[in-house]
Amino acid sequence: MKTSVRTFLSFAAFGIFFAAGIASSVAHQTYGDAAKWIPKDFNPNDGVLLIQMHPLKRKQKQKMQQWLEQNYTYSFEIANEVDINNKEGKYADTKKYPFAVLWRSGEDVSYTAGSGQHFSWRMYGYFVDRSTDKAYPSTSWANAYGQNGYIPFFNSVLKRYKK
Amino acid sequence: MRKAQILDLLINVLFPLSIGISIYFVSGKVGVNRFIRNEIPDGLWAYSLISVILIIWQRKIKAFWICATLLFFLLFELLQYFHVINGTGDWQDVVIYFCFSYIALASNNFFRLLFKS
Repeated sequence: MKTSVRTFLSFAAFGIFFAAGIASSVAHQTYGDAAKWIPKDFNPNDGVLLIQMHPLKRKQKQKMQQWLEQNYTYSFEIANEVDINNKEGKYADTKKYPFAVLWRSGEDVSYTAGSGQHFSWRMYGYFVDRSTDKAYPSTSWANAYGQNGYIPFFNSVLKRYKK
Repeated sequence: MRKAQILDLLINVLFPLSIGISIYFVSGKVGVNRFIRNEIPDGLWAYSLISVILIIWQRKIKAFWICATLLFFLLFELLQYFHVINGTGDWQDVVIYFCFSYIALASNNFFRLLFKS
């Protein structure tokens, strides 16, 4: 094999491994700016965290619930947005349910020379203090996790309060 | 490509990558230690890349390509750190990459003799 072929193969290996490294990493991704969007007075050991259902279809709702049950080691309940925002219903007790996580989702558009515009579905989580109705910001980091956007969100929370 | 090289690729590249991918999948279904879930797949990824570079260059240690690979690992984490690509940019990951790279380099002579035709 010629040196030029070996050189080409070496660069190709870098390219393939770079792509594979990015693609495989969602399972343990976190957002480095967690301190900016996790409320300072949020303590996962206090009360039950309300989490809005996954905004997509039933399969994704089940997947998110399964992931949370296996990975989120604190108390939580999954509820729909109406119930979370209702102050007189099942979740009226803000001492027991002090914080909620809601999802903001939508399509981001990007443009690539030659191939035009691309739409990518994203979901961004944000905390809401239920006693004051204060909504905290979402991460300012790039989010390319699509329907798995909840994984880096909760990984970041878990990392911050690592037991 | 000789049979020995194909076998070398299977054992030192595809096999570790498969183990790493399996850990990702299994850890989503059953409880797996945090270190095993997060660090071992990264280490196996690094081991596979160093191995593929060594195999391409007939298991001769070429300083330029080994340094380029180690710099690649560093760059990969730096790009995460500066938010160019998704991730956290963790120095612990760099340590893991380098440890597994060391294992690949330390075992190079063994595999070179093993797959010598």
